[in-house]
Amino acid sequence: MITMAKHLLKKFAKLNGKKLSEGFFLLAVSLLIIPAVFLSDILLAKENGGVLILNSNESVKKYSQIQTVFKANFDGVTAETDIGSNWLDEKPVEKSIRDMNPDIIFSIGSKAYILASKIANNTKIIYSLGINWQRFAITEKTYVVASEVPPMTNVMMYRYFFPEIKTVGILYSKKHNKEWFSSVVADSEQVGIKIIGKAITKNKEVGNALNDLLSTVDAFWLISDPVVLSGMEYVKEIFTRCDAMKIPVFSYDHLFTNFGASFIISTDIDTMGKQAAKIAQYLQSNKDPVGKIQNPAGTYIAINTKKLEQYGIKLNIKALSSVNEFIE
Amino acid sequence: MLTLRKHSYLFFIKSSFFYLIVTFFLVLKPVCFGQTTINESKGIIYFYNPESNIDNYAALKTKFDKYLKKIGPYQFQPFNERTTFENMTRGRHNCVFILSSWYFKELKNSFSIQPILIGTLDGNSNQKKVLIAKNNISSLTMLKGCSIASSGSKEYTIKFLQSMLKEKNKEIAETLQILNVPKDIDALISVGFGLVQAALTTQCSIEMMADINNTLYKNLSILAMDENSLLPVVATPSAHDREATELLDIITNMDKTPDGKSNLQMLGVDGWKELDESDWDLLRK
Repeated sequence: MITMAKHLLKKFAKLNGKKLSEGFFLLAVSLLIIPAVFLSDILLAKENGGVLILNSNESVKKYSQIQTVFKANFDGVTAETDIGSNWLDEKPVEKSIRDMNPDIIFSIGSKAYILASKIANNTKIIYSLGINWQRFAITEKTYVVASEVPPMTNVMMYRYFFPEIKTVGILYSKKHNKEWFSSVVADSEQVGIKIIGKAITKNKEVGNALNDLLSTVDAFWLISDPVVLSGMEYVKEIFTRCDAMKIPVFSYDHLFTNFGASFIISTDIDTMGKQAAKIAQYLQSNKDPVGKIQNPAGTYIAINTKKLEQYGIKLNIKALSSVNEFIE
Repeated sequence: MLTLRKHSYLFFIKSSFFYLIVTFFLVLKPVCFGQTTINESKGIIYFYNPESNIDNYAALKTKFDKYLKKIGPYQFQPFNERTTFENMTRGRHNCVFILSSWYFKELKNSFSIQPILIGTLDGNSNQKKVLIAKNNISSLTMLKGCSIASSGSKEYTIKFLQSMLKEKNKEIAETLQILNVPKDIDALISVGFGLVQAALTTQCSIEMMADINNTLYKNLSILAMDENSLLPVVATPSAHDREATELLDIITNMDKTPDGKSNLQMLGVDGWKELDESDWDLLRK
């Protein structure tokens, strides 16, 4: 609008005496148009509503993937905004969202959620693909599709794929994962797997902790712990030591494929997108979705059969139909 | 007026060299890089199974192609979309189809194909399909408008539930919100964790759940069961080439090698058998 006004004023300034009457006419029209446009903007902002997809960065593959799946499963999307391409200045993005005043924001990634919750008054927010969603304030109007595969799903998959594995070792820091570890121990008992844990306080303790742990377990579960994974040398040490003792490493991210992980369970992004779309459908029809915080319903499984064979780990051949990727 | 530009002697030498190089490549390409030309696939196995959202297409293709390559110039081509499958395979004669039995029944009137083998798992060609829910949902009517997890396609899930649920319960199928998940075990876990109220799965998967997590299994109850489903079908075009016969032979013998057997397991079967009268009856229904 400002550009439009500037443009009109420029035109007016350029006029010569002969066309002065036309100029006055132009000015009068512009004086009428500009407030009308402002007014319509305000009115539209109040009536706009709709469903906005707010993406932290569309160039991140999983972020764009979930956006595509969401749109394929929910046809009420009215606008899409990518913060990634506006990273220098979020203010215009913020303003346009305020003007739009959406009923629902599907925020992808933490950056999008922070911005959405800053703007939201009555807007309901669906939050997905944020690392550790518990870090953020979850309000009454927030609905979460968690990114982390629940520990129970992990241990059930271990049991399903490797019926002979009875003990699994975990290295963790009490500061970050004490409660999580206790819940895993209880969950694992339910599926007949014994979890043996070793708590550390500093990354330098990784080596000694592995000495104690690896001789007592059938497999090692590498979890997302900031102390254990505080440096590349510790990650390498874990994989080297496990490999030397022919102990398979189970992990949670594809990142560990090249290090030699034998079994990786991560969240299936497409299913997360479908879950978010379902929540949006419920919210749009003023119904409550099943659970405000939803665990991911689908898993993506990658397996390194060659490594497992090397280690002499027996694999349930019937579970092969559940494998998404074979690590070669 | 048309004018001709005179070219120098050097130009003719350069252009002759250029044509020589192009001709050389055209002649040698099929020999040097012949995988795609001379060794072009003679026969293809087309796979489509909407009953089970086997979303590991890349893994399936890699494993099957690797297996087939050892035998001859054959290929495996999985599909995840019905229309694409039908458009791409219609009228082909040098192929064999591996299809879900439900889909075979849908297709048999519009495609000229012949069932040859039926998949088996632990010697059984039948699979019981079950609709399960948490114990707090005691009847089908309580499911109206609820969410249901299924590893099958949306089209399959709705149509199958409509045929599975009898008379007055038939309309419930249309009210269900379907959450498509990658595998059966995901569907079961989703019910167990309360992400959805019910799941369409198989008796085999429930038995697996009873084995790996009995506590979760005890919280589930069966609301409806269909005993008339068959495992995947191997079919050929009614008029087929020699390649199709060769592929049929390869598929029949897959369960005789460890590699072949593990590939079959990726399709949810461990062997094949010829169709008997009861299988024919089920496929005709």
